[in-house]
Amino acid sequence: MKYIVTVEGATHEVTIEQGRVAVDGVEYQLDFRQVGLLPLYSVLVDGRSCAATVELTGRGQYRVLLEGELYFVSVRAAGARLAKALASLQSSDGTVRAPMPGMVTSVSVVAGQEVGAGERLLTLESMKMENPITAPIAGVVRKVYVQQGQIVEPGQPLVTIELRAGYNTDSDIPQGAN
Amino acid sequence: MIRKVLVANRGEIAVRIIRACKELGLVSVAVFSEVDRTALHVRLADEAYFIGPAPATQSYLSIPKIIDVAIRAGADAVHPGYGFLAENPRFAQACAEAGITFVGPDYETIRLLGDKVRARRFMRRAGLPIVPGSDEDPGQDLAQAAERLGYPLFIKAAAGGGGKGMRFVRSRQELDSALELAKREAAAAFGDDTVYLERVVERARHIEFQILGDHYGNVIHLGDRECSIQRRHQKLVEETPSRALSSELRAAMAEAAVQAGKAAGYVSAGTVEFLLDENGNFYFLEVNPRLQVEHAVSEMVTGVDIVKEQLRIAAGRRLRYQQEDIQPRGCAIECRILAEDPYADFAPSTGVISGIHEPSGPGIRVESGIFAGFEVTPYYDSLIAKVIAWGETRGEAIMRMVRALSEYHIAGIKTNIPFCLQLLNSPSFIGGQFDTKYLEERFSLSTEEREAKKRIAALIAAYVEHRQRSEDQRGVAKPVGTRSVWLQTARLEALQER
Repeated sequence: MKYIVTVEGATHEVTIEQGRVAVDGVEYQLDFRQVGLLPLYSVLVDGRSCAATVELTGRGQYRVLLEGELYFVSVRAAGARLAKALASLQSSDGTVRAPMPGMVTSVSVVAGQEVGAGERLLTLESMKMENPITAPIAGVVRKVYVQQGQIVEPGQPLVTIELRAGYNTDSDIPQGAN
Repeated sequence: MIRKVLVANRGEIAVRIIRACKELGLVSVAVFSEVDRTALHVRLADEAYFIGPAPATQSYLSIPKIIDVAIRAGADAVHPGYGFLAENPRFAQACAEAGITFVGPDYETIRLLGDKVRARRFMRRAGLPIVPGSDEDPGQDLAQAAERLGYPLFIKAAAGGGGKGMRFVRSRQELDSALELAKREAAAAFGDDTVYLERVVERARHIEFQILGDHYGNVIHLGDRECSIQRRHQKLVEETPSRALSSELRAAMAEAAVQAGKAAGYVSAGTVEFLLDENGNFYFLEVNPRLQVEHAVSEMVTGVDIVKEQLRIAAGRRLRYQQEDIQPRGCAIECRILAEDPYADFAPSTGVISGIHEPSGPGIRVESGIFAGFEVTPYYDSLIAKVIAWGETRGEAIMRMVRALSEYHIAGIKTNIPFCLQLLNSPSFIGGQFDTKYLEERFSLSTEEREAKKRIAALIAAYVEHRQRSEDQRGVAKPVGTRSVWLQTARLEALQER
């Protein structure tokens, strides 16, 4: 997973893959523990111990207090991996929300239509990139909130999918359905 | 006899005074503006009263409102702290006229010391060395006086303070326009355009002595404080004892400070400020007739609780100490914690403090008015807390301060802590090689380490984001939603207090 991270105007590329982390291509040993339920983290970076307070102030927007210095940081997923990141951002109540501001360039589904997990629902253009928005679960499209050409804000509902079409009672839903 | 004390202030100093009241068994009364309803001083005081909107002129600077609350609450004394009305003779007089004890010197003394020209004349007569100035010869016009004094020189407002009406003049060519500007500024700030010229003492240190006087003519001193680390005439780091003083020089300056206090019939805690030049000549600068921000460093080395002493003196008690009882031990340093961004030319930083961890441990004292959920507003001074470190030696005090500041985590706003840390680690500070111009002219904040730290901040934020995304993907329930726990707690508290 690659992230484009902006700290006080300077941009860095952070890669996180299989427990390995790198900033601008330089790998770091990272041991990262949250302290209780506070937004406080004990961080060991290459053995260097620091305490960091990390607060989410908006989607992908963080305030990081590191050794007495406060940084405003914005994080976004980079390039080709974006689609996957978008899918992960979709909420679990069956409503797929816009992960970023952008314009809906096409809508691929209509209400009542059955979709499979991973199937494309619509395409969102943001920062000159086309981002397919896919169904996180299999089901029936209950509602489409947006249309082609519409500008959306982060968090705005796009599509609601009803779980497992054809089953009307809870008991009919198999265990571990999704 | 004093039973109930109104604290006419806010922030850390109000908290400090309320604590002293509690330790003396006195009832404490806080006052608060609209934005300070849930401030620490309000919560710690026994009683608290609303005095008006956030702007200080309509609340903490309103003499009628504060006197009114004092009468309504039945307070028999008012402690003004520092800043706001602390040096306002009209306030002290209004207290006296309302039959309320003002914790400080009497208003005539405040008036005398607040007028720089009068104070200089008074102290010259009392035998103190004074920086040469135009006021020594009132018959002479200012241009002639300037020739006699020599350039560069300062134009200062007679009624002045806080750098207002003050101008630095390098040559005759600059004099006339600078005079005009200074007069206009002085008139606007103090309603009095009287200015005078003062010779510039180059490479001077700012050394001050804490004094205590009672109603029976006793005046003692609690040693010196080195306050040369300043930015725009605002002190930032203070320490005691100063490394610049030999024991002979210290004794001579202390004697002059006590002499100044005795001549003025000084009652309560006060500070006699001096300029010290490179050759060991010292000059009287002014007397601050109030508690000083940096009083705590003197408390740490002498063991005297200056605020409690002020309250005892105000109650008519005799000084409990003779000069020989004061035996300073060790060294103490104070750092002022300001809500300012040192990387953006010290721009004020406002906002809600979302989380805080205060330093503690051996030799550390924190004086603070902030807490998680506290909002730093643009209405008041940027001083939000003070850290004081004591050590057996100066080296130990510095190391303790560095240790403490690196423990101090204030989340949500920017502070000058990184600046203080770099300053404390600089060879000039450690070696004691500085004067009042050091910070502005020769110290520069390094951003080298900051670049490395930014990388780590990037890594940490990306990691938190990554973890959040994978949890969302796995459908792991988020314990706290997307808001900061600290913020959320603060909001809940605010709701409950309504």
